[in-house]
Amino acid sequence: MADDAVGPSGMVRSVFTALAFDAFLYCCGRFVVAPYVLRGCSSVPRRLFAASFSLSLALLTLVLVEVLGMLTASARLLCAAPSPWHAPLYA
Amino acid sequence: MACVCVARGSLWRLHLALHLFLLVILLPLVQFALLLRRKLHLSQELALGLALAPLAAWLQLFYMMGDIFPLVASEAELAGESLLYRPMLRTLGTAGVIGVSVMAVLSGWSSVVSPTSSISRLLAPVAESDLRAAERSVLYSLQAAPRYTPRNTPRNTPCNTPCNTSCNTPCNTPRSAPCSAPCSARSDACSCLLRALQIMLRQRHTLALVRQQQRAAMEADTTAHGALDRTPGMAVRLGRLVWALLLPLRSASYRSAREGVGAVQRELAATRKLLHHQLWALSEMCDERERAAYATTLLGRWNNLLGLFFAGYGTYKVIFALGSEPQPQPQP
Repeated sequence: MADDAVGPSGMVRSVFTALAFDAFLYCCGRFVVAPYVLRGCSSVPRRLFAASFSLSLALLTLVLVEVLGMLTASARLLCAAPSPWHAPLYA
Repeated sequence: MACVCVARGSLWRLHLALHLFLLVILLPLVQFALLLRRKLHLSQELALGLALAPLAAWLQLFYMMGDIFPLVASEAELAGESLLYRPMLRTLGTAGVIGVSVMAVLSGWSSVVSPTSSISRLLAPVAESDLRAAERSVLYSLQAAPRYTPRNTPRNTPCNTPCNTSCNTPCNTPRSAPCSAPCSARSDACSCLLRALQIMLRQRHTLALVRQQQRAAMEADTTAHGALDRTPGMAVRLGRLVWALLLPLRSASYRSAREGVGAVQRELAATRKLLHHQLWALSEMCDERERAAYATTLLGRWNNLLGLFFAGYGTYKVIFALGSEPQPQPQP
């Protein structure tokens, strides 16, 4: 997320971005992946597959965003005060 | 930045809740409804209503499994969490336990089945005579397959559908007579498989026609029995289901339609089961022949060498890992 997204407007923007990403993933799962994976099935299994597809990828994206944010913070901490274990790397 | 973190946390919990709802409630409900609809030939609304009972049993079983295999050891670990988030964590733990158990069972199953099939493949290679015998058995079953003609279809009109995908020409035989158009490539295994698939699809189409006739007979019976079936509502639908079970009390046309549909369904199911078994065996033989032919090529030999190398390397790693197991330190 951008650092300038501060305040309630940033929160609303994040929520709407996530919902739009969910809708995009649902459409991808419903109209792109499901016709190849579930051939000959009715619309109900395809919708369920698309829902599961979009929710799984959205959860994975949220985890990746969180992990990347943590990695950035730890890298900053490491650069500010390198531990003796990593001292030869910064010598 | 704090608002963005709050939004991330809320989105994470929302997506987790939706995913758990889909996994624990919605997917079993739809599975039960589809099963009931297929077995009892019910409408979608009635099947969804009746699926609530097995869903309740499934939820009870799920709750009991959460008691047996708890992810959270005590209530103290949930002290800082909200009341809405606590059942989500418990559900996540139970679903994780079920997922890991299923993965372990499937892994053990494949680790037993794969060497068994490999050894049987090495001990009994597929000969050409076995393949020909399987082809002959499939062809015999295909020629003996029943052909049901719906009542509304004229029996002497040509069917105009290709009887064999390899020759791809309409057979033009009357529907009452068996389709016996000769084809030069009939003895080929691939054409045999394709023709069997086509006949099975045609049987599915026939079954759809039979069900259409059943629906027409039911509608005629409904109009004959008056206001009970025309009144909407759940209780009336259940009454209609009970009334359908009382088959001897229904009209003669409905009874004959139901008995005819049952006989055709049993005959088609038996034929489909036999064809499925024989086609599975024939497909396995074709795959084995193709695998044996690939193993004689240069790339197949190279892959065999790579497999042997990695098998030896894995054995070496296992033996040296067992030898370098850390010894427990004696307590002073």
